[in-house]
Amino acid sequence: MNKCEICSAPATVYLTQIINGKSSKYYLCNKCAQEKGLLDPSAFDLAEKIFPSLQQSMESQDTTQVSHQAPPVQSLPLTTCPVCSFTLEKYKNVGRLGCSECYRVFAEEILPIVEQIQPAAEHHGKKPVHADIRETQQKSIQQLEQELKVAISAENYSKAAQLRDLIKSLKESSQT
Amino acid sequence: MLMEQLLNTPAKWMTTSQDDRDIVLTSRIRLARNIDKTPFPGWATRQERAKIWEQATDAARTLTAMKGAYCFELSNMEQQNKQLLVERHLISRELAARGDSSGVMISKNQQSSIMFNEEDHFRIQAIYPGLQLKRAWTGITKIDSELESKIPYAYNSQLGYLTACPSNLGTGMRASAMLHLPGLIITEQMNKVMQAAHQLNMTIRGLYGEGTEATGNLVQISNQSTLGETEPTIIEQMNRFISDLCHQEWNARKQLLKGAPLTLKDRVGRAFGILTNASILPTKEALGLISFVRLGASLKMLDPGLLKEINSLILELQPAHIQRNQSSQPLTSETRDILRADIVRKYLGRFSLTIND
Ligand SMILES: [Zn+2]
Ligand SMILES: [Zn+2]
Repeated sequence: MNKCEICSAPATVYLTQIINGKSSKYYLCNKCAQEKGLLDPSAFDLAEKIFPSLQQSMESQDTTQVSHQAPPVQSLPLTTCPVCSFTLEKYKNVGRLGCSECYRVFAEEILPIVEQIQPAAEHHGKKPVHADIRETQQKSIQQLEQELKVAISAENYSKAAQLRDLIKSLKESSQT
Repeated sequence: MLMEQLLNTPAKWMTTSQDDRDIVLTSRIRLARNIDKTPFPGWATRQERAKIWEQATDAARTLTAMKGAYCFELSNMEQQNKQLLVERHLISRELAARGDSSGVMISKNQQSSIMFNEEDHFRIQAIYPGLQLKRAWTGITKIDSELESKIPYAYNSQLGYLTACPSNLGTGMRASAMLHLPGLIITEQMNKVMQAAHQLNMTIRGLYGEGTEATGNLVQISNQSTLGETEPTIIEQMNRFISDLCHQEWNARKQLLKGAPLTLKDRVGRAFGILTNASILPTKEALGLISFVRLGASLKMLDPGLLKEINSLILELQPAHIQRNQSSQPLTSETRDILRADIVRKYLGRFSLTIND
């Protein structure tokens, strides 16, 4: 069971945003999603109309969660940061972002600005040890989840089960 | 009480000169750091900011460099004391303008400080006298690494340290040096210097007042961009540029001495004469004249001994410092000008003019 990224309660809402083919996922509990104004019914309608295929692909992905009770999945495109509720309109006024996660949520809009004000677009300086480990772990989890999807679509269920256990243990260890 | 103790003992880097030629006053490095997935101070709610203050100061208190450190929350500070810390370069003007749950921790020797809930959750700072950017980096990176073992930093491998403003992304580092450049300014070589700095991605600003005007011939040089290069590379480039600038400044001073000795003698003598006799002295005029006295002393036209504590004199001339030594009644700027003249007379009165060799 995934935890809410804001308050760590069990997640019931699942948000996806797709930027240049890369998707970012967010898990939220009902309460936090409501507080962030993400459960507005008209917004969902809109999301479904705009992204019917997205909705479908997420439902099929949902079947991979065999051993857990599947979270009720809903999706919509993000116009506000799920961590801090910041919107891009505000950036245009103040020139500052809302939180670190905003860089991921608004990557498509912010990266061109970064390229304008900085001479390069890639960091080569100091790497914080702990954050670096955290990032590597997250990346390998994402990679394993990809492999899991492949295993399931190839109906290789024993491999899928192994991968699932591995992902689960990695997720648990990265949370401590 | 703690504030009194801090204010009564200005830092060594602030008061004593490390540069015989009186060119580089101080070197400073500042790092912007944030807590992962936590609203930046400008966007956080009051409660969130209070939580950040708690988490940030708890972690900072355990740092080796912060043993016995001073810690102040802005909402508990008098306006006057905030201004004093700004004049001492211990906090930024931006921090002084903030309220609840913003504040600063200052190490016992005042060499390092951490501002909390300024534009970013953490602004770590290290200041050393003279040209010591490398040493400042060694010192500050140690504090930063130790803090990182206690705080989940906002970071990703592409953009580096994530900051409230995209202009600080990457290293989050601003390295700067404060320089006294009367030679280059009088000989009108600053345009050339500014262009060279610009090409190397550095900016030059006047230290007091706005824009490019360099009151008292004091300027601040800092790196402009933060993304793409490593910290040691940026520091090395700055070090080379500033060393080069020192060389040019010294040549300009010698050229002045050689090319127009009488004019120089006249201007240094006049500056000394006004400063030791004036009864009303506005800040800008004082700083301008003191620059000539410094120039004369560095060329041994005046007792070089006066350079030793000239930086603490400059500090004492700032408005909040003048106010501090007076009764609690706020002074008018006219009264401050009179008191400023007294302070300068007292300081320079101990030295004599040795211009006629
Ligand atoms: Zn929640
Ligand atoms: Zn955000």
